[in-house]
Parts: sequence; structure tokens; C-alpha cells
Amino acid sequence: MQDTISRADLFARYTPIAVYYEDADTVEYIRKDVPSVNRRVDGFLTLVLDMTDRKAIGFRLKGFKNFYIHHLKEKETEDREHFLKLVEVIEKAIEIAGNKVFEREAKEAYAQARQIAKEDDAALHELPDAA
Amino acid sequence: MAKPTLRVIHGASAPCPTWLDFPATVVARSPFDKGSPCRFRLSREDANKAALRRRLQPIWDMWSVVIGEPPPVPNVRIWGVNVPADEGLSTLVEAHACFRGINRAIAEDDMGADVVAYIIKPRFFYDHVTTNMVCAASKRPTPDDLVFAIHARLDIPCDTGAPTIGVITHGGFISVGAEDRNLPEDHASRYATRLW
Repeated sequence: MQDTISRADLFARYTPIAVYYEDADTVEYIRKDVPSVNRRVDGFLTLVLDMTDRKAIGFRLKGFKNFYIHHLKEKETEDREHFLKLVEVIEKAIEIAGNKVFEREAKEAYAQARQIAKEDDAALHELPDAA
Repeated sequence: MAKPTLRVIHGASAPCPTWLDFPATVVARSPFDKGSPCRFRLSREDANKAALRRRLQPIWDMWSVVIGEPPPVPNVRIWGVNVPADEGLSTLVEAHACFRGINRAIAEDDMGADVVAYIIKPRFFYDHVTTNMVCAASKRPTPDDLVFAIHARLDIPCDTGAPTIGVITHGGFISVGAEDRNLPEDHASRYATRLW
């Protein structure tokens, strides 16, 4: 990936990539860089919808640093891997949420996010700094 | 004589493009007193990170909804579809509602208790376009069923007399509720407290 930003980037094509935004403490995976609408599912998951047709184009995993420290960091160390597959993160969140996720709308939203992560093999390569 | 302190300065030598050069601070109404002004810093790190991935729409949102200016890209003020380029854009100070507590973890804050959310209903915003080589920003009307929520993390301890009282971290469009089309849907469960 490039490490500088130039005027040419104004017209460069966006390539989907999972990114951890530290100030927002959120992992974002978006298929298209277009105007979007956030649909809050719960305190962890937000589905991102294309503003034009309101179809899901990605998702945000919120409070990610906290989630990572408590539920993922240990596994990452054991496996000596330096990236996280987002489908596994979503599955972990479903496991932890338990029955809460099985409310119909939330279940569908988690399924949509999981499908996007799986289809795109989305992975986070830059992990939060965990104290 | 004391030895000079050496500091490592990260980043490339290329100048920051104007569209990433946010103002250092923006004015808002105080979360604690709607009649008083306050200032927030604007997070640049996340915007830089997004730009490096060529994800520019959140940056265009920040310019046109929070700062109240068209993204400063070539031809933005003269391209026909944008004229008049500033009309109908919003600024943070025009927020009509403010909530505190986002009911989700943010870093070490388990419930996001120190986060405030300002709600704005912008008439227009700018869309990042890559298919038109004349201008990379196109003005478009905001759908009537959306508002924009801007999240800012308060400095703790919060000193309302300080030059800035927190940092704006991110924002986004969300659907309005059926009972009040100026407020986000589910705002009662989405936020802990309505401040004004």
C-alpha cells in the first residue's frame, strides 16, 4: 500500500480493505466508497448501507479495541498470526451475544455482515495497540 | 549547554493535500449549555488513514456537513452541478440536538459515556466521484429520511473554559425516527441522555 497521498488519489479507484480507526475505535469494512447510511444493530455491529438503494455494502465493528483485548488477543498470540479474519470476529461476537443475537432483525444483520466478510475474505492486518 | 532533543517526525515529505488539511478546530454549541459556544478539535489521524486507503467519502462528509465548506478540490466551486457550491451546506454549530453516551464501548470507556453526539439535518452534502475528471466532488441533496450524527469524545476531566473540550472522531448519516423526523431512529436506546 502507498504511504503518501497525492492529488491523483482524488480519482483513484477504492479497493475494499478492512481498517481499524483508532479515534473512533471501529473496524470498518466497506465494499464501495459511496455515500452511505449507518444502521445500528447493537453496541457492536453497524451495517453500512448504500445511500442510493439502501443495500448493505459493509459493516462496522464498534468498540473493537475492548473486544480485541478481551476476546481475540489471546488467540492471536497463540496462533502467532498477525491478521484477523473478520468472519471469525463476527462469529465470536455472535457466540458471546448468545440469545440476544437471535432476535430476527439482529440475526439477519449479523448474517449479512458475516456473508460480506466471508465472500470477500476480509481480514484486518493492522491490529489495535493493546495495552 | 543542554543537548538538543531529537524527535522522529513520521510522514513523507510531500505536502498534505488541501482536502486533508482540516481546520484545527470547529465551533459547536456547548453540550452543557446550548447557548454557549465551544470548540472541538478534528481528528486527523483517522482521516489520513482513510485517505491512504482511498476512502474519501467520510472526508467529504466532514467538509460539507461539519465544516460547512465544499471539499477543497479543483473546480469544486465552478463545476455546474455544484453551483452555488456553499449553499445548503451545514456546520457543526447548526446541530439541533445533542446526546451524551453512545451505549457502546470506545477504547477504555465501556459505555462511551464521555462521547457526545450532535445531530444535524444538512440540506446538501458532497459525494466523492471518480468517474468525472472535471471535479472529484459532486453536490447532492440529502434524502429527507436521514440526519447526520457527529461523535465527539470529551476531554476528561472536562474543562468548559478550555480552548477545546474534546475531539470529533467520526460521523455518519442515519435514518430518522418515525415519531420525530429530526432525530435518529431508536435515539432512546442509541444514546444514554439527551442534553438538549
